[in-house]
Amino acid sequence: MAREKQGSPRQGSSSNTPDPIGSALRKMWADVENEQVPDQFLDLLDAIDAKRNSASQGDE
Amino acid sequence: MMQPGDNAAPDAMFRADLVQIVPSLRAFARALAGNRDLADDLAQEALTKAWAARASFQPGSNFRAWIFRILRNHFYTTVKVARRFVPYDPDHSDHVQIVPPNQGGQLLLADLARALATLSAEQREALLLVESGMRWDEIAVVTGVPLGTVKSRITRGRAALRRFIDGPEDATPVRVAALTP
Repeated sequence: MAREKQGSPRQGSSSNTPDPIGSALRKMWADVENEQVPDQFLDLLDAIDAKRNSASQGDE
Repeated sequence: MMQPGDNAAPDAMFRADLVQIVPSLRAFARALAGNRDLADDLAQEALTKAWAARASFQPGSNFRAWIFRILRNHFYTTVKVARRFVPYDPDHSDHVQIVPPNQGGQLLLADLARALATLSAEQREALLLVESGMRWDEIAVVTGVPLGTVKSRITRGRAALRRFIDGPEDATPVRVAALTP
């Protein structure tokens, strides 16, 4: 919803008519975005960092 | 010191892009798969693939569309390889959240999830992507189809949702899509 200001007109739905389906879809998406990111994702990024560090050390 | 072949700085930027996209990537995976665990597996695999393919990303281009496309391709490849239909499996049933009344319109997310399960995966992803704020042309890039196809999926998907939600008892298929351009 915050991303509506991305410089493009909303194309999905007209803003003049009530649109429960549109707002429910937006809420469904936002609910997931607002969930706490599970630990596995942080572990994965850590693994990427470990690769990154060993790669950059190899360059020196 | 930056030397030819030293990718430390671009890799750090790419890593920052990955961190930032995780919530949206999870949302898109959920839109495709429905089920939380399967969606999170998909999103993690997409992150790994994106990292491995980072050299093919043009800095300054649309990172969101690029990585969403990776996730989507991976999803459909997985479905194909499994040689089975992976059903959209929404797990919103335990949620009781109600979308705030919108001039009389109320919709339970569980009802919406059930309605979404009746759509094709292509319609479902297009509808959720457009409501996530993505532009039609970006959705065309993500899904690899012409703009007209994106518009058609959104229009038909919306009509099907409306039909399901407004008249679930009506077993007679009604061709509403043709009436709403």
